Amino acid sequence: MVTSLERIVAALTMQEADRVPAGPLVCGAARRVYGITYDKAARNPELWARSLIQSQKMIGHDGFLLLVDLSVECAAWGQSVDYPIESTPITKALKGDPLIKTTEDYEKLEYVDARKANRMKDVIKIAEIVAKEKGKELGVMGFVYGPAGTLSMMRGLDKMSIDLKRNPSAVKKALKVINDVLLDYTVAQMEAGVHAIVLDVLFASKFIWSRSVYDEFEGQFCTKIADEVRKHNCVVILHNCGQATYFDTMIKWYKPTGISIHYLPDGVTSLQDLKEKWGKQTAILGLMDCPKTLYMGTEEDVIREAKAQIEALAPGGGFLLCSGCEFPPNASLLNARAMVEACKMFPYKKS
Amino acid sequence: MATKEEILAGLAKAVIDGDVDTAKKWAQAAIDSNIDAFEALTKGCQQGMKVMGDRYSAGEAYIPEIMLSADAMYTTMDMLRPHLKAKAVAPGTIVMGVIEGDVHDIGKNIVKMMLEASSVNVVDLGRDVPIAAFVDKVKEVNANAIGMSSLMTTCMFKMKDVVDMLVEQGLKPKVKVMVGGAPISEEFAKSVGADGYAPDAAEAVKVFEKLMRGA
Ligand code: B12
Repeated sequence: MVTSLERIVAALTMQEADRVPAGPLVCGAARRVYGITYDKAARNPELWARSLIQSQKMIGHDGFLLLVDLSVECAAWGQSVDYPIESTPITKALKGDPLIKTTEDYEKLEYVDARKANRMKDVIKIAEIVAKEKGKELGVMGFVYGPAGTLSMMRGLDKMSIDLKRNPSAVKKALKVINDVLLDYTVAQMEAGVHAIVLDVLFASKFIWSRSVYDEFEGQFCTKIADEVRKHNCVVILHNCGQATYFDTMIKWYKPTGISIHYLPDGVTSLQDLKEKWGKQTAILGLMDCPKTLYMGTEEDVIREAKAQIEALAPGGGFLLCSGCEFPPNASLLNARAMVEACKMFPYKKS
Repeated sequence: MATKEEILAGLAKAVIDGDVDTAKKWAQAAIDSNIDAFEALTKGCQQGMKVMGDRYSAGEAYIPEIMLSADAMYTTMDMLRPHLKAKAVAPGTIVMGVIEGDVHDIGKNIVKMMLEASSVNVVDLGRDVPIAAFVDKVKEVNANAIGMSSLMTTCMFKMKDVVDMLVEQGLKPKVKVMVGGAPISEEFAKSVGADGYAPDAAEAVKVFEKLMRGA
């Protein structure tokens, strides 16, 4: 019998195992198996880990993604975070309380110890529990929000985007410090036993930054993290749920084994085109539509969309059927299961 | 001394370039040359912002460029406003915000800039705005419309609560409701009782104008 882990490894290395792996990226949704509120689960690593494991038993997906939310990293520097009872935790930088209030504050960011940092230490703990209990059969993917994304959670993307034009050196100083800490955080997750690190590089998208701004304000720093992951014989996967993502830029800096996306990349017109243009250079994870299909759609809608993606992207390996972003935390869990069903219904066609 | 055409073109270009200092110089030149402030606003700075809005939609400009242009536009608008002859008649007042629970405000901000670039009076409540705050603000400023944005499926249904509250308080159909954001569709807009929907900022301006004409 093929294990989930073997199935994932095959797909990532451009081979066909028994079927396409299913990764609905059930993160915040997992706690619903126990009926625990979001605010409690997000602050209790044992409960979060148990929820991930238990929901996998119910849904049957092939791997875990250890994302809690995008405000984990910024909290290490003391950025305040809001924990709504039934929604994703969110940095208070976007609610009027940014840690970086003026351009001078960029230069005040200092190195912190990721293993002891508020929230990061929780994710490391989650990684330990999940990897120890499930790492032999299932895929376990750690998660790190890139330095630019992390910085934006302490300043706000709009202000930071102005600052990088008017005060580039201050912004870069902060990015350098942040990247060093994220590097330690990455290593800690790998030592806890994850198989892969998913690096979220959201700003490599046409609707956020240009390619050259991306190179200057994330690529040149964050490339070190990808190198470190490879040194540890772990797998580099990128995540970018923005529109019109820059595959050329992302591949140049990070040489990823896989890229996880929600929308078609820049310059790509269809799933077939995606397979032709990029299918040999990187495995593709995605592209189940979170708001439209997984949240608003029925199980039949999920299966229909999954079928089209499997047909276009799976032949020859190199495709994992994943949700384009985290599985919507409030969507029907049956839609996550429908993704697994679809992978079973439409196996690779034996040539 | 620069001609009127040169000043208007200079203003527009400085906004496009996101060059606040140059924009200020041209705005001062407009004031010194007694150019009609309304014309300087609409044909100069706002025109520049419209160009940037179109470039962003076409994928030729990015968030940093848009933010710098907006900064130049707002700075010059503040300089020119005191020189408006008659209090310019705004096409209307709209209360805008991102619905409760949602902090994605890039799209809302772009729509706001483009509405302001068309001289609409925008009262911005920011992000994560509670239901009642929309309605209270409408009453306070006697607005003609509400513009709500949401990027989260978890939050977008709350738009209906705002519409229901407007109805309860007898403010509809007088106050028009416009909605938008990536997951919103024409159908969804209808289902929550909104009067208008637009997929992007340029369209949002047209929809607002249409609603104000009562069409
Ligand atoms: C940038 C971004 C962020 C940034 C936001 C920065 C900011 N200040 O806004 C950050 C990193 C902070 C962020 C955080 C999160 N995000 Co986010 N984010 C995005 C992303 C990539 C782009 C959104 C964007 O700005 N687009 C560009 C703007 C210009 O487009 P727009 O908003 O659609 O606006 C245009 C039109 O819609 C229209 N319009 C907009 N508003 C209005 C209003 C009116 C009245 C009208 C007429 C028109 C109109 O005109 C605009 C201009 O053309 C989207 C994915 C995507 N590609 O859409 C995810 C996305 C919205 N995020 C998502 C999620 C899940 C989150 C998080 C929960 C992640 C996490 N796990 O922590 C948090 C929580 C945020 C919260 N509580 O609100 C999901 C939402 C899924 C869902 N359930 O619906 C998305 C869809 C990603 C995905 N594919 O799953 N995010």
